[in-house]
This record gives sequence, C-alpha cells and structure tokens, in this order.
Amino acid sequence: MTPTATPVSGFLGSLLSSPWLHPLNDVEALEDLVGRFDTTWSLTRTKARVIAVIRETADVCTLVLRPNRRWPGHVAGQHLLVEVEIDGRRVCRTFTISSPPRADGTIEITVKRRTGGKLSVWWNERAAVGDVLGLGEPAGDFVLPAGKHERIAMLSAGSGITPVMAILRHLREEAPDASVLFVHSARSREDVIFRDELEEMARRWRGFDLRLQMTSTDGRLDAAALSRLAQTVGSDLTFVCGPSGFIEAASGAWREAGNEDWLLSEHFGLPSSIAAGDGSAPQYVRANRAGVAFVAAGGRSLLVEAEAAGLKPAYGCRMGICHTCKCRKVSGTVEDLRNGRVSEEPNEMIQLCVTAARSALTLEL
Amino acid sequence: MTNPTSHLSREQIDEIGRELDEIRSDVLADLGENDSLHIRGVVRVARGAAIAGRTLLMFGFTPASFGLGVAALSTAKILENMEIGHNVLHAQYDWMNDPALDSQTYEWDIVCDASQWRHYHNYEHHTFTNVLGKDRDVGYGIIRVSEDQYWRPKHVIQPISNVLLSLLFQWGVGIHDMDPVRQLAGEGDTEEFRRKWEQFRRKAAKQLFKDYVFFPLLAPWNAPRVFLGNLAANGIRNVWTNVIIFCGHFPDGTRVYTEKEIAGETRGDWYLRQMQGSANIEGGSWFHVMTGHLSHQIEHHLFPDLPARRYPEIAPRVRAICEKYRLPYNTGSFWRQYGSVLANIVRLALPPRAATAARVAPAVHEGAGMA
Repeated sequence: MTPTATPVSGFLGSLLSSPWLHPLNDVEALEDLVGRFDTTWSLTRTKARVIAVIRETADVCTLVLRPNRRWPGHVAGQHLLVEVEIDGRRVCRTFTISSPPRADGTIEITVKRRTGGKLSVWWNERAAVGDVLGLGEPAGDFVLPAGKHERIAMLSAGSGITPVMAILRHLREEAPDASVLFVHSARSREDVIFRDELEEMARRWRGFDLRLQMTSTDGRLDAAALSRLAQTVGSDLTFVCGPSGFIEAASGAWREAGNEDWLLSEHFGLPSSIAAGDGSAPQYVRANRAGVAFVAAGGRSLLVEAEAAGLKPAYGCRMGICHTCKCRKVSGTVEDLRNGRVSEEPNEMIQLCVTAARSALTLEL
Repeated sequence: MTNPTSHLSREQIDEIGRELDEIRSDVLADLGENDSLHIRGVVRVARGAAIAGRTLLMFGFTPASFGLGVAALSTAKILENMEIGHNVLHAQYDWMNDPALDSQTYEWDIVCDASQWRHYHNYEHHTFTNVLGKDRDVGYGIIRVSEDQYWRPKHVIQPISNVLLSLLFQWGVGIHDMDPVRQLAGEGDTEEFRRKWEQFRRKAAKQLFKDYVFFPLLAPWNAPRVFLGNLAANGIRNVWTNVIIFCGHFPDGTRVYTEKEIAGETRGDWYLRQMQGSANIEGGSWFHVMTGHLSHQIEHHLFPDLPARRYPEIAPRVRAICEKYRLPYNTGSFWRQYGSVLANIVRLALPPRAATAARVAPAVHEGAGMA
C-alpha cells in the first residue's frame, strides 16, 4: 500500500503481502486455524489464558495468566496493554502487572472495578478460568534502577499498590536483606489489596516496615504527614504510585526536602468523565497530528468546530451516514448528537460530523 | 409519477424520523457476540469456499470438478464482495474494533479500489440516493431506468448495454468513481482523475495478475482450466451483483428525485427518500446472505451502517411504519422485481411520447455526469 522507491519491487512486495492473494498468504486465516487447536496459539499476537481468578477485595480482582510463547517477559513495576473481547467488541486498556517475573512464565494482573469501565467490570464480574486475553508489550520506567539498593521506601494509595507490589515481591525474593519501608493509604482495612500477604511479609521479613493509613479512621496522608515521611526517608530511593493529587503532594514534600531526584512516580490517571461537562460548556480539543488545539463549543459538531479552527478533516455527507470523517478519539468524553449517547471510551473511533465534545479531548486528527 | 408522500404533514415526517431513529438505537444497543460470530462465520465460509474452488480448479480434471470449482469460487467471491466487503466498508462492524474488519483499511476481491468505493458509494450514493445528477448509480450513466431521465439516442441499445454492463460489472464499478463520462466531456478535474486512475490501475493490475497469471501458473498442468474457471467465477459474481443491485433501485415503484426536491431536507425527509428509492427482494436466509442482505435494500438505505444481518429482524417494524403512514413498501419475489427491472429497461429504451415528455422535462435537471 505504501509507495516504495523502485516500482517493481514495490509492486511485487505489496502484491505478495496483499489481501488479494488470499487464501495463499492469509495470515488471519492461518491465525484462525491455529487458534482452533489452542485458543492461545498465535503466529502474530501475544495471548494469555486465565489460569486462576483471585478475589482480593470487594471490588478488586487478580487474574493469573499464562502467556503463550510470544511473551517477551517483563520487569517488576511495568504495565501493558490488555485486550479482551467483550460481547463481540475488542476492548483495550493499560493495566499494571502485579507480579514479579517468574520462572514458570505466569503473570498476575490486579484490577479495581470502576463503575462504567467496560474492561474493569468484566475483569471483576465475568472473567473465568480458561478465558483468553491479548497482551501488548510490557513497558514503563517505574522499575528498580540498576545497582544495589540497601534502603528503599514505597508509597502508594488505593489501587496504586499494584506496581509497588510487583517490586516488593521481587525484592522479597531477590534482595531479602534490603530494608523496605512501605506506606500505603486506603479507605479501610477491607480495602487494602494484598493485605494478608503484606501482613505475612511484615511478620516474616525482618527488613520490612509496613505502615497502613486507613483514611476513614486515620484521615488522609496530608502535606504535614508526607513532609515528615520525606524527612524520615531522606535520600533513600522512593517509589510513589497513586492518583495524581497524591503524587503531586508527595513530589512537593520530597522537593521541599531536597530529595526529588530519589523519587520515582507512577501516576494512575482519573477517568476524564469526572471532568465531563453538561454539554453546553466549550471544551479544549487537541488535534494530535496537526499539532494544534482548539476550543469546541459544546453541542456543536467537532467537524464544524475543527473547520472553524482552520483544520481540514476529510468529510462526506456531514450527517453520519458515510463514515468519511471517522477519526480516532484518543481520550475524552463525547456525545453522539443524533441520540445524546455519551461515551468516555479511550481509543474509540468517532464520526466528527455527528459528535460533540463533553470534556477536553485528544483526537488523532 | 404521483408523489406517494404528499399526504404527509411536516409533523408526520418528523415523527417517522423519530420512529426510525428508535429502531436504529434499539439495534445499536443490542449489538454483541451474535453479530461478531455471524460475520466471522461468513468470513470462514468464504475462505473455505475459495480454497475449495481454487483447489478443484487446479487439481481436478473432469468437467464436473470444473463446474464445482467455479461454483465454489463464485460463491466465495460473492460472499466476500457482498456480505463481507460491501458491509465492512459501510463501517457496519467497526464497533468490534477488529483490524481485520475495519472499514478504513479493508480491501476487497474486486477491481474497484476500496477508498474510491467508499467515496462514491457510501457518500454519493447513500447520501444522494436516487437524486438525478447527484447519484451517479441511477442507471450508471448508460441506462435509462426512470421516465424522469432525459431520453438520448444511446438508450436505444440499452437492452444490450445492460447485458454488457452486468457481465463486466466489476469494471463498471471500478471506473465509476473516476467519472470517465464527465472526463471525456472535458468537464472533470484532471488532477483528481489522474490520481484515481493510478489507484484503479494498480488495483486492477493486481486483480488481473492474481486470477489470470498467478493462480494459473501455480498449476501449469491446468493453467487454461484455472484461467477459464477464474474468468467464469468473476463473471458469475459480476452478473449476480449487478442483478441484485438493479433489483434494489430500479423496479417499478421506486422513485427518483431532483436536486430541487431535496433542498432543505430534514432527517425525516431523508429517511422517506431512502424508503421510496429502494426495493426489497423476498427469499430465504441463505439468499439474503448471498445478496449481502441487499435483498433488504430499504432497511439498508435507512441504516447503511447497521450490521446487515439485522435487516430481516427490523424489516417488519419498518414495514409497519410504512403501513401506519400509508407509504408504499416495495417488496416482491426475485423474479417479479428483476422482471420489472428488465421490462423497464426495454420500455425506457424508446423515447417518451410527446405528451409525457412535455410533462416531465421542465421539472428535471440532469447533471453533466449523466450525459
């Protein structure tokens, strides 16, 4: 499809990989065939089978997965893209791996149920042993830096515990002599994910100092508490993971103590729906490809607003029929102007001519 | 022709729009695993038929295996073009997020380039359905299918041009977006024409290479047989798609419109035009799949981006709306619909009588594309 320098090889090359030689070179068909022997077998994709379901708390669930041979392995603390087919739709989200690398190749992913979150609801309510998921490449720098670290501090809030747990489990195995201070904040004891395992660790691991902050009784970890913590920890390597407010507060405290270089943070984004307006408010729209941002009036189509901002998206019917103006919405909440349906799905295809912004948006435009 | 919608008030037309929108919302809310199983199942059947057909043509030696091979390969091509290609390109399965069924990247087994198809079919034909001068699918610029089109001398031979068009239908579809008629008249955008020509040339070269060089050479002992089998399969697919599409828009009772009539159209008006410009064919469930569900052309034109397998289930609701508002709902057996298409093609080959011409001519504006 893409033009190449020499027309002959370009033509032959695209011919050989082209769908018009199907069934001879039909990778999809081979995939389909291979998948009939074993649903995790694949020529092109990393897939994994659920081999155990562990209920952690009332609204948090861990799936233990056995990936196929295409799995490249990960480093404790990394995240990855997970794809599940739910009611015929492929849904993709980024989740953290809560387990360290293991000899048997299994990984664990722990997910908190979020109302309206397609994949997180499936994870907690419908996932069963035997289900097959697609996996992306593990990625992320929230990992132990090279070298030996005698003293490490970890700080997490809510489901931000997951990458921290992967690192903790790794340290437990690989560096049992290290001293680790772990401060975790959750609403109540019942909401502490991995509580039994953490308490067990605290009993058996001499260098492990576990401090749980139950916000419903002890209050939040406020600026003063974080500041004291920053003083205690000093220049020890510190990991912090949680909602953005929590990270900002911790960064502030560490900066004040002059130790921000020793702080590694991983931010768990909040769903944009929290910021979604009622439909009348103007919203910022970032057009990724064009590299510009514009303001879209609520209730007016993104096509009209993009054109008013000087962009020239492809379009056809301007009434939702022909799909010429289809565009990937990377993030944000939109409304379908035909039926008022509001959607906050990330990475969703939208028709610009019949869609309006309900929150700040990022579009692949 | 009397206007079958003139008895409707503005409020009634708006109400029809709302009732049809509700059908659309109901289906959208219900999309799920059955729809994905259906389309993937059809993909498997089409693949299997293609493998069976090509194998029989390459390795068989008897006339019977030739016939079976052609039948299997034509079935594969028809399924791929209609129930899969046409419908996937309409974005009917984009909600699945499956890259193999994505409207923007799918390419189909026909000489027509998918992006050109999306432009003239999804946009031009589905937005301006049956509008003279705007929807170039009305008779494809060579056949007079309605009394509202001007008669020209070339129409005298249209019973023959129709046969040729149906035999070579994929080529007609392939060059349609370039609008060669307009280009020949010196009225087209030359730059645009060149770009589309280049796209078409590449796609056509690949298709020709595949069916008439590559696959025959894969079985040198049977090369002429494979060549002929592929030619026959492409031909059968051409005739079938042409016949089904003509049944959808040109039997008696479907309306054509002028640009003036559609100025200031509301969603309700647009729905009305879609219903009046289309016709259904009755048949069993496999017949519907083999037509890509274009046997439910009315439902398809109302909801071009809903998965086509849903059309039979919503057809009774659409029909009930037509009955409630005393609107025609054009449906009939295959032979009735196609018989009426053929009868029209023969009848309209001749110029209208003077009286009719005087009544029709002033109201009609025919665009350059139709010339």
